[in-house]
Amino acid sequence: MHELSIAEALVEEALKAAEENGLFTVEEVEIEVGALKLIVPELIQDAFRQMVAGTIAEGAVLKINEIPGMGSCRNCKNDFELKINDYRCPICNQAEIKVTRGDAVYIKSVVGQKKDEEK
Amino acid sequence: MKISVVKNVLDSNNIVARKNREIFKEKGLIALNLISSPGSGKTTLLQKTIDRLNPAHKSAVIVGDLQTTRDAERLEPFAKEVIQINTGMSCHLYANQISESLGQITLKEIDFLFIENVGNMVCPGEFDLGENLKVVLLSLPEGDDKVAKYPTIFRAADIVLLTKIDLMGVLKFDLKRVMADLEKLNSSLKLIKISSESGEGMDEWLNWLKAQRKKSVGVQAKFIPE
Repeated sequence: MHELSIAEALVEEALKAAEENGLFTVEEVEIEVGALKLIVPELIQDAFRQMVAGTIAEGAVLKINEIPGMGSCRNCKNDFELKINDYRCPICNQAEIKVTRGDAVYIKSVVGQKKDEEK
Repeated sequence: MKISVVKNVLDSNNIVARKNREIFKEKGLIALNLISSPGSGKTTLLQKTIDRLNPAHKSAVIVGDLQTTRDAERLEPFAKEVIQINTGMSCHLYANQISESLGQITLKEIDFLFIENVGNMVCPGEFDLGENLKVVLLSLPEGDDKVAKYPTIFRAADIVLLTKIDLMGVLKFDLKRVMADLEKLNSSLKLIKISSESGEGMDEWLNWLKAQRKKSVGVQAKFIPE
């Protein structure tokens, strides 16, 4: 269900980036999704499609790259991939970790046409 | 043309959240974001909590609900100031809603700012409001399987309150299962078994609150009786 909230924020940031860079259309938005965000790709695709309707990004393709959730153990400094329901370190068995990767959604790039490219 | 962006999609919200956090620090108050599913007892717990913090510590509440001012009405007799935000169809509060509400509160007179988020275990965990601490409530009637079902919010919690603990014995609830699931997410997470009805756990909760405030603000209370 949080895909809707995230898509809303995502479209807002993508349109801002497009505007700042003088794009008059947006054809593709590429994002990096951390596994710990528990995002369902189909749901964010649907939400994205709805949110871009009526904007310069209408019909744009949303490209999703998923990355794993990574953590660093505060006790033994071991770096390891986190399971959704189990953050325990495979070495010392403590869940005292710092998430180092995979707990956010980042916009990586926006593809569109720039005004001076028109001709 | 392709533009490289590399920006967290929640950047706009996070920037406002950081500003809120600075304001809390500057005004010498601690802000707590209460998150749980609807009906877990957030409002009743706040009534009892604020009643017990009075008169030595002054509290304000910002409460988010889709509709109605019912929670604000229930909290008004206890808190110094209460602000109700109606989110319409939005299932969580945003940092800018908090930022706008702060203008309506006399912050320098407040020691504890409680933010009662919209009842929901998913989206409120995504949106930083600038709070100092996240308090996650899980009530016994919801069942002992919820930690594993909603790991993100329990992972983000600074403390978990197991509410309506007076129903233990009436309901089938495996406390060991909850503890084991929490242990997998955060070994040092604090859990308090609490009941607004019987008063169990209230002292521990109030002591924890006061200790956290002391830790984050560095003083006992700003309020000096005349």
